[in-house]
Formats: sequence, C-alpha cells, structure tokens
Amino acid sequence: MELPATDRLSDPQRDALYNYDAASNNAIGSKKPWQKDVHYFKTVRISAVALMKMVMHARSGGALEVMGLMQGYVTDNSSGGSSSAGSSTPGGTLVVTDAFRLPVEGTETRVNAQDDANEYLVEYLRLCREEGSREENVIGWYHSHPGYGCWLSGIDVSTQHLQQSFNDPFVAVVIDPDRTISANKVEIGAFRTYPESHKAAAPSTTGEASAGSGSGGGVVGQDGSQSVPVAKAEDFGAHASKYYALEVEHFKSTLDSRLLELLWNKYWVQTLAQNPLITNRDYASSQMADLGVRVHEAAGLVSRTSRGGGQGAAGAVSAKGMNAAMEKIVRDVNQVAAKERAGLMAAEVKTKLFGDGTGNAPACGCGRGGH
Amino acid sequence: MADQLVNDLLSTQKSSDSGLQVALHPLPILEISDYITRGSQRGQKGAIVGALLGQQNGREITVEHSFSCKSEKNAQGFYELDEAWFLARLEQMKLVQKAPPLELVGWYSLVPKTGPSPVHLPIHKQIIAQNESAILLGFHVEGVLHPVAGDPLPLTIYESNMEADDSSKEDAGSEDKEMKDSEAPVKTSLKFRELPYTTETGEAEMIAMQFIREGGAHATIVDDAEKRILEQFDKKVAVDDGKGKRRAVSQQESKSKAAEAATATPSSPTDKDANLTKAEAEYMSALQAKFNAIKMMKSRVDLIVAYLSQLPPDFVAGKLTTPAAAELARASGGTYTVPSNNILRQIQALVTNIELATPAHQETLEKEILQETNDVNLVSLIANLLSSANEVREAAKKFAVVEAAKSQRSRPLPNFDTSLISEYSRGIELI
Repeated sequence: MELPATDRLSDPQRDALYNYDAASNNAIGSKKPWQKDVHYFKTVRISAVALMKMVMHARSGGALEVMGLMQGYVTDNSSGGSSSAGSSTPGGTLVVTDAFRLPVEGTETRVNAQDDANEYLVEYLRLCREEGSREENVIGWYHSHPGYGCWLSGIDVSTQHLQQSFNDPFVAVVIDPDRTISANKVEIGAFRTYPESHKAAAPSTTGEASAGSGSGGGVVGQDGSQSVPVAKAEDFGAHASKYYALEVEHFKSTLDSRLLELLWNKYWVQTLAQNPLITNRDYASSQMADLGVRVHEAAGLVSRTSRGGGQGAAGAVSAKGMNAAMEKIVRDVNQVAAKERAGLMAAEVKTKLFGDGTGNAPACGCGRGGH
Repeated sequence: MADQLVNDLLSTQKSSDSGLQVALHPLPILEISDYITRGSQRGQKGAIVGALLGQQNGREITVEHSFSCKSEKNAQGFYELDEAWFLARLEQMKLVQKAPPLELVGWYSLVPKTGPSPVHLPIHKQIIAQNESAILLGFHVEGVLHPVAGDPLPLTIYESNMEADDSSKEDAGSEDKEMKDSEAPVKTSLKFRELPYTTETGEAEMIAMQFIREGGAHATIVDDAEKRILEQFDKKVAVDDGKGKRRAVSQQESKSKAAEAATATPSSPTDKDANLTKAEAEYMSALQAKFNAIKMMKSRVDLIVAYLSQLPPDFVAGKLTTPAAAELARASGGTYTVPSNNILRQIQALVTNIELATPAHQETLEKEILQETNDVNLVSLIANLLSSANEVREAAKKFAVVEAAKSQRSRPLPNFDTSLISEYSRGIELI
C-alpha cells in the first residue's frame, strides 16, 4: 500500500513542480517581490488535476456561476539550473497544484465568498494539514463565466483586489464552460489586479493585455478573440484597465502522460472517425476573421508610426507595442495553420484507410461494447 | 485462472455475474496519478489510500471523483483510515458535489497484480461499513514500472462478497450442490472478484483531456532568465543564430540552459522558434494517436478474421447445426472457435454497414475533400506570408539603424557598424 522504494515513478527533473519546498516558499513569502513590481507575476502554471477539476466544476454548474479555490505556491524561477549573467530579473510564476470547490451558489454576478464558504475553507485546510500530503497554501480562486468569456467583472475586480491586499500572492482564474464546449478547447484566463495607486495608462510590456491601448482595451483571451456579449460589455469595459492577464500554461507529470496515453487508446474509434476540420470549422473561421481584423489594425499602426518617423521615445515605445502585436499575430496564425494541417492529416488518413481514395469512414457496426 | 500464486482473497468463482457495472471517469485516474507523483517527489512514507466518489443507480456505478485519505498503522501493523478525518472530509465532499450528487462508492490503493492482500482488509471493512457494495480500485505500480506493450490501464476494479469457505474450491456455480443443513454454520469470509469496467468520458472531460495531452509541457522548473533574454531585440539575433543549434540541442539530454529552456518551455510565448517546435510536437502526438488507433483497429479486425477462419469446417459447409458445431468446437479444445449465431449475425451486420457507408456521390465527396485541402493550404500560405512580412519588417528596422549609423560620419564607431551590418545581412538571409 505504500509507494515502492523506486525513483522511477516520477522524474525529479520533469516532475519538479510536484515537489513542495516549504523553506524556499517561506523565503519568497517574506521577500514579497510582488509588492515592488505590480507586474511581477507573468505566468500561471496549472496542473492537470487542478485543470480537470475546475473545468468539470464549471461545467456542472450549467448556467450558474460556480466558484472554488486553488492551492499552490509561487516560484521566482531563479532556482534550478544555472542562472544567466545577472542582467535579467527573474519573473514570477504561480504554480497551481490543486483546486477544490466551495459551497457557494453564484447568481448572476454575485460570486462572493460568504460565511459558509469561510467555514468550509477553514475545515478543508485543517483536514489537508492533518492528512499531510498536500501542504500548499491557497494561492488563488477560480470561478466560471458561463458563456460570456474570461475576464473580471466589477465585483470580481474588487474581490481580487481585496484578496491581493490581504492574501497575496493570489490569482484569479476564470473559466467559460460554454465556450469550452463550442470551441473544443478549454477557455481559461488568469488575472491579477493593479493596486489602486497604479496608473494603468502605461501600456503593459507583456503584449498580452492591452490595458490603455484605447481600442476597446481590456483583456485578450487565450485565443486572441475579444468578443464579450453586448450585455456584459459595459461591465467589461469599465474595469478592464484595472487588471492584467497572465499567461496560462498547464503541466502534467510523466505518470499522467503515460496514463493519458493509455486512456486515449480507448478512444480509438473516435480518433479515427472524427474529422477535426469539420468540428473546428466555426472556430477556425472566427479565428481567421479575428486575425484579419488584427492584421488590418497592425497595418494601420505600421503606416502611422513609419510616417511619424521611427526615432524618438514615442516612436520607440509604440514600435515595441507593435512588435509585440505582430509577434502575437504571427504566432496565432501559425497556430491556426498547424491545427488545420493536423485536421487535414486526419482526413487524409481516413480516406487512405477506408476508401480507395474517396470513401468516408464507416460506422463501426460490430455490436461489441467496451472498445 | 491464477494458477501461479493462489491468492486466498481472490474468489475462485466464475467472473462476476452480480451484474455490477462500473464506469470510470478520467478524473480519479488523474488524481491517483497526481497523488503518486506528489508522494514520490515529497518522499511520502505512509500508504497511498483514497476514497472514490460517484453515483450508484442500482447495479450501475460511476466513479467520477476521488480524494486522498489520511491513514495510520493500527496496533496490528495494518493501515486503517482515521475515521473522524474520513467522515469529516466525506461530508465536505458531499456538500459541494451536488450536481450530480455524489456518494462514496469505494476506495483505491496500490495493489499488486496478484490482487488484494490482507493488508487491504481493514480499510476495506471500514469502507464496506459505509457502503455495502463498495469497490476497490487497485492501482498496479508494476504496470507502470515494467510496462508490457499493449497493457491496458494498470488498474483493476475489485468487488467483494462474503463467500462460503468450503465449497468454493470446486464446482463453483454448478447446479449439483449438496443441500446444506440450514443449521450447520457456514464459514464465510471476504473475497474479492475482478470486475470489468468501462471508461466513460463526458464532453467537457474529453476536451480537458485533449487540452492536457496537447500541451507538451512537462513540470520542469523553467529558467526564466532565458525567457527574458529572448524578449530583448538584440538577443533575438542570438536565438535566430542558434536556430539550428537550438533544435539540435533540444533533442539531446544535455543539461545546458538552452536545452532546458527548449525542452522545458515548448510553449514559451516569446520564443518564436519554440512555437514551431510545439506545433510539430502536437502534430507528432496527433500522428502517434492515429497510429495507435489504427493499430487497435487492426487488432480488432484481425480478431474477427481469426474467429471466422477457425470455425469448424463442417459448420462452414453447412452440414452441422450451430449447437452441434458449438459442441464440437468446445470439445476440440482450441482448434476451432465456437460458433454463435449472435456473433455471426453481428459480423454480418458489420459487413453490410461497411457497404452502406460508401457514399453515393463520389464526385461531390472528392470535390469537397479537394476544397478542404485547398483551404488548409491557403491558411498555411497565409501563415507563411505573415511570418515573412514580419521578418521583412525586422530586416527593414535593422536597415534603418544601419543607415542612421552610417549617416553619423562625425562619430564613426567601426565596431558598432560592422556588427550591425552583419546582423542586417543575416536578417535578409532569413527571408
């Protein structure tokens, strides 16, 4: 029943994030580098388990907002591996290792933690400490926006602001289960608010958020699209400059990869039969349309700055923003192209396998289950 | 039948006719794997034990959620759950799992391939007290450490029953049992039986799993310094310069920083190069998935073909009725397969369906396929176009800088000049 004494179950380098070093965590906790730099945290890395739990929770809520908390820790990325010649400052990453639900019913935009939730939380953490396998602290909260995209509403902003005042480091994660289903990929965003005193007019350097850029501003979703339903647009626009988005990455352990591979083999029927070109057609079209708009904008920007002369501080600043925008466009279009190519490959495999160059896949008619 | 090591706890009755059907969702599997990885990384000494939550509708059980449990060794040296802790946590879970409402359906632990052993009994008894038909999900660590090709998931689900001790050795389930005296006490003990299970995945779970699979990121600690370097304009040349180098390095197991960054941050946003690698990695994993799927299909088809080709020849020629042929086949001890009208009917249906699936209008289909191909190629071309446009911009920027520097003849900085010129020419090469 105990773990066997082998080190082959997990790889110390590739599964490093699953380890928890309380000492170094306390060290960072006392240094508090995020207080000096409002943009200290740039990335959130979410574990497979946490992601799955949050997605399923969001989905199970249906049209109601649901909410929960996440456990994890922060790293400043200066540990592990040789550090470069000290010219660069290490950035901050929040690592989310687990997530759990809170017994709070969200109605419309009122997703506040109430007394019930607090009681639950205290008890939950107490049980965690007694059990001992998960010592991480609460590192953030997540909630769902069913159908209206990943961004922070006014109430969310104040909640996050409060949390950052008292419980920093803290991050807000938003999941849209409806768009997840329709776009066939997880719609998730992570945000941190600026402190009251911060002037959000300065364009951010990450290129992810275009706070203060003026053109509808606010947060760009993971896929670059900014469509917020008209009903929520006002709430979105009013607070969009008070927070910025972090890059969301996810990770899994070597054991996870192996098991997922095995599990995936059970879905072989669907793997062969599906045609991703058709499933993703709507999404890809909307992506291309969105990219078209952004290219148009970028072209306009290019001609404006080139005419205004490329020298000078102002030119340099907008040039940098333009660089980032161009980079993002190129990245996104490459992504779409890659997806399309993969879809085409799937279709080609099907035709070669099942037809003499022309047939579609037949339904598997053998009545045996379990495959 | 286990003939090597006879596990006393394994029932020797024929496989389960109790009709319990278990549908396993992917989250418990991920949670167990997370627990194991965590425990392995953090040096956990205790037992890997947890509870399973799901829905139980009569004979159908779903396993949808799980959580790790606190356990301690009791006086006999066996692990037991801390009851108070367990009940408290269970209450919490029930409170938040309301749509759909989940309850305790079993527990999991590390179990050797030979099956549960007496160490698993105390906890099992505790769980049974909560739910009589609780199942045990045994995770086989050997299956992970020494994988056999074609192994299904390294876990087995066991159900337990109280079974009579004596008659269980032979003649289990046969009709001719001696009528036992109702007064004679029958010794019963807990026996486990393997339960076949299916894996079920909801839509959202499938999407989440696909998402998790696709992101090739491992849980390495990312050295952020490398990322920073990439953000700066000058150093971008270094990246491009080392393009060939970087790719080669990422394939080796070297511990250099570049390798770490390349392998550890395949999804790093600021590294243009890594984006390609990520797409390629995704492409490769898609290809791998297709390959596995085709292999699976081939094995299934081979099975059907083998079944058909090994039917008793007399039966195939039509001289025997099905039951008679079945007798013959069973008696032949493996030379012939047992014909069954049911199976044959299903195979016939399969063949008919294949013919039905051939589309009526070949030309329309071909045309549509051609359109799809063209669309995809078009998108690829657009992507190339945009990348090239961006690179032209880069080159033009460098050109502008060189021009500006050249025009400042009053302050000649020869070193500055030549380095920029070399960068500029490199930029032109890239297009």
